[in-house]
Amino acid sequence: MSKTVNVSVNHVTRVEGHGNIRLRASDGKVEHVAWQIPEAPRFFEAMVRGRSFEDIQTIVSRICGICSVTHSLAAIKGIEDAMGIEVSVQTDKLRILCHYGEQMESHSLHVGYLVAPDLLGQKSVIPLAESHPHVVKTVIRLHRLGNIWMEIIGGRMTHPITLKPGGFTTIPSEKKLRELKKVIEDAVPDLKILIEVVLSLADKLPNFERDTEYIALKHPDYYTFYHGDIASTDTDEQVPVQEFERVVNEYVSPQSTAKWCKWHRDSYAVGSLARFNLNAEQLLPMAVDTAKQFGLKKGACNPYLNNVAQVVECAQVAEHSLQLIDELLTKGLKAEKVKVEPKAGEGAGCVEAPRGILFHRYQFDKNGLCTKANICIPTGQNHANIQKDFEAFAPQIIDRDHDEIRLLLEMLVRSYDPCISCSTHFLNVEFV
Amino acid sequence: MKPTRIICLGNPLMRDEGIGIRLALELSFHLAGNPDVEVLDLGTGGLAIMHAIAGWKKIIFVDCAIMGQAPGTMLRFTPQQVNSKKIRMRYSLHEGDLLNTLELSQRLGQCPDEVVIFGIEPKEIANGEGLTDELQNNIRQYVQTILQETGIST
Repeated sequence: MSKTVNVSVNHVTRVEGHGNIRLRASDGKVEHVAWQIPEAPRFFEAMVRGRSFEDIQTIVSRICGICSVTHSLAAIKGIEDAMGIEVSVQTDKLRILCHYGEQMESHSLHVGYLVAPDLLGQKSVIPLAESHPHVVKTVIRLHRLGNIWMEIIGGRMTHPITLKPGGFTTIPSEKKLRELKKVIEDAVPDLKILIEVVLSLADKLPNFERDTEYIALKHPDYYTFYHGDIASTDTDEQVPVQEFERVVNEYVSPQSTAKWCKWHRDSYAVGSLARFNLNAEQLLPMAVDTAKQFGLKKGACNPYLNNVAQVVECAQVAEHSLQLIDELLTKGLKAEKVKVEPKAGEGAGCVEAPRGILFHRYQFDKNGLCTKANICIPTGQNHANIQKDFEAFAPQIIDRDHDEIRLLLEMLVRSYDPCISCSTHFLNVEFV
Repeated sequence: MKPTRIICLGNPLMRDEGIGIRLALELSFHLAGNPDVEVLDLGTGGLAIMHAIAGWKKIIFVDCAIMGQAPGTMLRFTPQQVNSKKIRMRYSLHEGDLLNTLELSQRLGQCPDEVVIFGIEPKEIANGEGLTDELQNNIRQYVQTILQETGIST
């Protein structure tokens, strides 16, 4: 008997940027499967043109409430590259520390709020709060840690105000840094609970592997989210950030209105698993131990394991943050005068967002006014790879029932932790 | 801790979506040094709302809201008086929904007893800075109404 399967997941809102899933199959054969998403908004690039280099950070920090530190830092690095600005070791460490707060916040929330309900058979985190309150409360405490972290280094919970080209507008006091150290240390037991919860559910992650090219920053000395060159699992060649267009190779696919990216193959993946696959040997002991518990090893190519890599990275950023705070306190914090003279130039900045490598490029005139900008976000770089995963995975699951197929494809998208509706927050209500 | 916190939400890079952030700035001028009321620009921080409301006696939200009203209309309501019409895919953390976050806070016993929302109907939610005239021309009135809610007269 012939069986027809149609899976159609639509997301229609007033704001562009949402993804649809389409699958059509008949007699056990997939005829069409697609990840449909419109082009990521490029209006930020137009918005920063004509603006002073001193204002760019403030503007781009509003692109996204979840990745606001990441966008700020990518812009600041691009500006500093364009104007030849060097920063102090103290600034460097404080920025990395601030960025780690965002990684912790984003990863713990993604795993706890979006992935855990899938693995525990709940539709969302709200019923999970009743069925598994300890899980939700643990995640909320870790999220709170991230908020405190942001307030201490970035000046407020979201959209940081202390970061600027050349350094910081204000730096935290040593007392505040000691407080941060204490809250991170106190959060380690919560982190271990999160690890145990995900570990107990890891066998529920679908077993799907597809040989994939992974791309992330790489640094010779440590597991990096901030410094280094662009590396691929397909080659030993490393590309300087200034030449990132050589890596992303944006192109138009007839299947999608969003531009796709490719380097050595038709697609590549960025994110936690990419960073892990390129840099695992540089993880600190708690993260190494976490990866070992999950049996996560370099070369993993199951996209669902990105969520496990996120948990490993939570351990990594907690441990490295404690080291950085000790180093800063041992040296003693000093207020640094930052005076930047604008000059004409062009530069690129790159930072690893929680969901993958992010590139910003800027051009300035002699007065420091922006004449050109280009932003290449990690989610845009993952779109083609999600499509390729769909094409490989759909035939493997086509015999399952409709709802399970739909859930598995949605989970696959979720595993990439995409940023596809980040720029708005408005309410849409009806009165009862 | 001051008893009342005004939390302003939105994105100033999305035209009228940024009304909350514009009002945060206006309100901060009026409330500087006020011992009882604090204003917070939370942008599109999403789930950070959960932490921003915990422990406060009264929370007032200010946000752009599609309510089926004429552009520029501001309505006061409580979370119990509305249903969310937002469709959420749970693909990412980036899908913020205030009502959903408040529901989670309530279930976890972390939501203040008194929560009031001021929703402002947008004319345009689109890429760009600056408010449409329908909202821009009402700024003073919005500020007065919100301050009245806190018991402060202008």
